[in-house]
Amino acid sequence: MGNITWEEFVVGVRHVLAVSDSIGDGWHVRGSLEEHGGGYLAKRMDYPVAIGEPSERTAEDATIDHDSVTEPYENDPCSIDPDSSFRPVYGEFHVLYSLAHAVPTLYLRAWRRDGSCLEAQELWRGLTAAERRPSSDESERLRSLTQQEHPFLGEPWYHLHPCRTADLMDQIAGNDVDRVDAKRYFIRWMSTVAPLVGCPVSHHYASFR
Amino acid sequence: MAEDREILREIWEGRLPVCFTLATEEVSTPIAPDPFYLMVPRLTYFPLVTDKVRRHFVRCVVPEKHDNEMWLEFEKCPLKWHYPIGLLYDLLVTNSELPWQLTVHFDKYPDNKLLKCPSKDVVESHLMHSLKEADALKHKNHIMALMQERDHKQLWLGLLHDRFDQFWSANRKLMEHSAEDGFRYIPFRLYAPQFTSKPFMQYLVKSIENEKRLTLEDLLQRANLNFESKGPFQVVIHGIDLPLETPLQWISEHLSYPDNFLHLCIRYSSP
Repeated sequence: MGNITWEEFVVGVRHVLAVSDSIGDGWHVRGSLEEHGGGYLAKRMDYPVAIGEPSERTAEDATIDHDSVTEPYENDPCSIDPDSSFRPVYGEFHVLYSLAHAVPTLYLRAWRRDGSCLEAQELWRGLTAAERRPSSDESERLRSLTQQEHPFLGEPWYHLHPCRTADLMDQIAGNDVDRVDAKRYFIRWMSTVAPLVGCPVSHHYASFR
Repeated sequence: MAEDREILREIWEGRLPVCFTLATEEVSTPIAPDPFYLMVPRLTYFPLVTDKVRRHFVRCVVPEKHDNEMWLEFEKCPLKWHYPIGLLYDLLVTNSELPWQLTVHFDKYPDNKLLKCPSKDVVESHLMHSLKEADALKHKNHIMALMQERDHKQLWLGLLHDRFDQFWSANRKLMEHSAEDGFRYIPFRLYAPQFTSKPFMQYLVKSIENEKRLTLEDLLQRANLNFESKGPFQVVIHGIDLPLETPLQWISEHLSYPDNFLHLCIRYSSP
């Protein structure tokens, strides 16, 4: 069961909403789930990484000069510099249904306090440092992450491309002979994919009633 | 497999005359550079045909901006490079003025509105993602997945170098279908900014349903919008006003852009 229908997607989304309401981790719906493909799951949070903020420079320079922003990580990729010039960033995650691939798909964006958006390289470097992962993982993840027009907002967002999601979900199911229901599929997908980009998924989601 | 090769060829040959002008506030030389005129294929993407435009203007902006990404604007609207040129024209130009007057910028890249495009590789990756999405709709992604890397390259290089035969040698495989069934779903995007804040509408429409060949009219009906409410309208692709009774399967095989999507614009005649 690599794919799900829109109706199954909605079952998964409603499960997340119910659990999220009880634990208060902020998932909510935008648009309409009544309309086929008409809504999506969204969450905004402080990103669990610290990224350099261009506090000393003007906002205009900040968009060009990336070297000095990322420099501290080049000394030690596993350290998070406690320097006060580093500020947390904000992240927003959207889970949409891909009509073409018939799978859930994740869009994300992160920005600094001054409103400037993080580029993929900065984002990954920050996440890698926070998770203490080896850098080979970073390059692996970069390959699957592309900038894409958000289908609801028309803005550039980062996107984990869904064309291999069905294969991934087949692999995860492995020897699971029972047909996996929509809730389980959705939670398996979320707990596999979302943490890769720094969005934690609570174990509470794995208890089904 | 598409049979009306002449139509495919006509669509491929579609060109637009464009007049590029450097934004006045970015001119750093005593005399502003001349505008730059170019005939560009409707089917391609701006980053693939604007190297010359860049070279012409870059010497007239301050040296600090020489390595910046160039971007284009039409009437205050930054142009999305990931939309084919013909789509941008059909979507944005209401008075059919030609040549198309575009403003060139090297400064203040609007990265909250436009995807970054640091190199042509990004365009290639965008094309491949779109082709996979279209194939997922048409054939559950079976054809793109079975195609060899060589065929993927033919599609890309055919578009990049404007070579019809090279592109279609691979693209005809993506257009295959059984005679009785047609495509599983028609890959299309419907642009109707008058009705929605979304950049485009996309929903599932089959080629044939209950043995009936669906038409453009069927596709519009399924949008659940009253298009007539805003007056008489046209559905435009490649600058052509498509008759509503045209079968979707035929349109999809003959009028799709190289990304294998039909990019259909709803257009109202100006009052």
